[in-house]
Amino acid sequence: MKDHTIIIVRSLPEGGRKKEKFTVPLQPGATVLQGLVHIYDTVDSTLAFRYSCRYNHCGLCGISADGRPRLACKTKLETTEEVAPLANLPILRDLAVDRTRYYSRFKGMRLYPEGDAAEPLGHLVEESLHRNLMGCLECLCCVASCPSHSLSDVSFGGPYLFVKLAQLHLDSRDRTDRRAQAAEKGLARCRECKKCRCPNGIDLHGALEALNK
Amino acid sequence: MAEGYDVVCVGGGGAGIMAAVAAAEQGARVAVVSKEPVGYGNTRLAVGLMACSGLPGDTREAFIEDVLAGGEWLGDRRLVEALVDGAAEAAARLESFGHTFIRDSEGFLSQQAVTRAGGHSRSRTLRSSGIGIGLCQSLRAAVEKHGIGLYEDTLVSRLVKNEGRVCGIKALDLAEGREYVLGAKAVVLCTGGGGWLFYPQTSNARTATGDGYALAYEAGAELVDMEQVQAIPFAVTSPAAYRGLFCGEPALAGPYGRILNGDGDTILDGGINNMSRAAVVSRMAGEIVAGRVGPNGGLTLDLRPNLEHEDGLKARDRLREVGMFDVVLPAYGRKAYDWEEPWEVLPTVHFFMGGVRADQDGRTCVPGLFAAGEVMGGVHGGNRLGSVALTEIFVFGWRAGLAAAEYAGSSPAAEPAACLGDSGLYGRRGAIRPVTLVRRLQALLWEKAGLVRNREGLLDGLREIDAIEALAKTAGVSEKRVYNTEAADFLELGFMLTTARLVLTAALLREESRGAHLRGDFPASGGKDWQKNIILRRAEDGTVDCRMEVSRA
Repeated sequence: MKDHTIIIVRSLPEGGRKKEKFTVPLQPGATVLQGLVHIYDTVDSTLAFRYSCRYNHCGLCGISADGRPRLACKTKLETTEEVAPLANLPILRDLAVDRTRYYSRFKGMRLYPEGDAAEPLGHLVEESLHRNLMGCLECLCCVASCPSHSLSDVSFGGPYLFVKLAQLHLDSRDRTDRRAQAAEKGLARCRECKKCRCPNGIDLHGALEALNK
Repeated sequence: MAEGYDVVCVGGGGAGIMAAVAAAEQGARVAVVSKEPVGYGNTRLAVGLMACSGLPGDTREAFIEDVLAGGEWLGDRRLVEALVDGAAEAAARLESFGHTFIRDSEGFLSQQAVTRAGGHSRSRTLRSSGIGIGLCQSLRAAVEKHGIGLYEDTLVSRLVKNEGRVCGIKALDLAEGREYVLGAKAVVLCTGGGGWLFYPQTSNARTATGDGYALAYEAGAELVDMEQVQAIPFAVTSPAAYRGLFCGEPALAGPYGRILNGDGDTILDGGINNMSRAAVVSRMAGEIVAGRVGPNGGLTLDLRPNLEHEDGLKARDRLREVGMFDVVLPAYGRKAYDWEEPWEVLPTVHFFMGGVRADQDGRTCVPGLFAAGEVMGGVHGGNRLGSVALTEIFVFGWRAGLAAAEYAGSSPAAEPAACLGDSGLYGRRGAIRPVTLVRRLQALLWEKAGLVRNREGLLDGLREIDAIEALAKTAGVSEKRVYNTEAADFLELGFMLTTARLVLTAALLREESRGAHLRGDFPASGGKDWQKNIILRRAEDGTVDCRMEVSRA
């Protein structure tokens, strides 16, 4: 079996980053996640990273592969040279995103449908964009690809929040003005930009447009 | 003085959040403790199918009989009645959190909108917008809406008792590397199952390490039918990165699909979609144990015959829309995904039917301790039907949350013992890394307690568990405090060892083949004589106390 050398950029809790080189076996169809697990199991189990489902459901294994935000479970190991933590996000250690801290940015935004009680399991028409947005893995790759998002500036919502607000805006059970919330959170900055990307086919720009109309 | 809540729910999946919301609505002070952020466990991995009651063309009795018969009469009728009676309300409650069940083109939950899942005699299964992922987005929203205390990246290392009652949890904050005690008048275990004990031969999330079984057992609760570990028939065998990942239940075969062994002989031909998970796995296991397998140890699933029939093509398109076999595309390529090429499959561990013994309100025999969801046993008996797991977690999560709040309201706070500080986990010296032992245990479980068990193998397995447990005492954990997953591995290894011993002990006792439990040395069903539940409990001397009771199906 061939070997493959990969550089891992490890974020240090005390600040700064450290690059380390690892050699891993290149099994047929190997993924970056498989490489990380191999390192963890056989070389260094202090390597911190998140994963759970191994393919495309949990959204936990988001990483930056050669500078592009990706899910490690769907990224080919063979063509990846460097793995780093997702950009623009709080990192606990090495590659592990502090998701709790990230989500805490949205405290108080009431990201659940608010309105009159609907008839239980009653009539409901769902728009196709809503269906698409409900598939959001919450991997946060979109946030990592957003040039306007920054950890220190909570005045700007960022693509993850705009997807959430668009879900609610398109939800007939919700009565809160989600467009106003989006505007308050700097949606205007997205108008000319649209550089955010989803590795999983979520219609981010459709969400922005739905909130913008 | 420990921080305190009325109710602490352990686990951040569907059962845990439902329990927390139910308790919060009763005015209880509630917290959820979750190993990952809320909604990132097995609930998220679900295909989003949820069996519902009260739909046109269905009856309460038919639903109850389907679950009990499917479970080969090991289930508890009272639990199944509660499951069926609470299903519609639970589905509606989920929608109030922001979840959406897919309607027909007119916007109604008509027969066109629902499907008939595996093992059910009627169409009663709802489909979810965004499958399990969309569902879990709604769970996070519900936590915020109800002002529930949230402790994420946090493991529970043990339940704290005082004078026979559970009065809190010992927690490990993985993000900070801090151990502490959280007081609680009632604790609801919603930790899910233990599929990860069989990694990589499992469809489960990495977090499904059987924590709740071990926590409950150590606290003195009873466990029921732990031998009943369901394999689902179809998982991919290669590439190694995806080995063991779920690609379908019997329905995937469509009306005309067939299964061939490694010699090219057809072992099942057509109608697989109407068989139970247990029946399909049982037939496949025979060939696998006999060694008549393909290059990666599996059998061949040939779905091409479906393409010659209109209903076969329809089945493919519908299953593709549901997203049941998405992993086939990266694993085997486009032709396989289009059913134009056969591919190799192997059953994979999917669900623990057994678990903590509880009544229909989640009460265990330990005061202050409740259980709901997969960690609870007794609903599904020997075999779980498709789409009933989501129903179970939402129905019983809710009921256990209500009961826990009521219990908390009528019982005085007990002070957890003060002796529970830092356990010296971080920086403990050792020659072996916990993950090495975890992997050894997982390989052992698949080999000795995977598809087909026998007495010799199980006895070997139990001896090997003892050996790994002895080695675990010499395992080391680095001193790093921030998100040091070696510390999590160490605790999880302990849970996995306890759970493994319970599974093998029960498997040894059940000297028949029933449901998911197949014995090579007892291949036949024991009939009515064996309609018994195996109940395990920790004896005073630390050994496993076993007894049998006639099932209450």
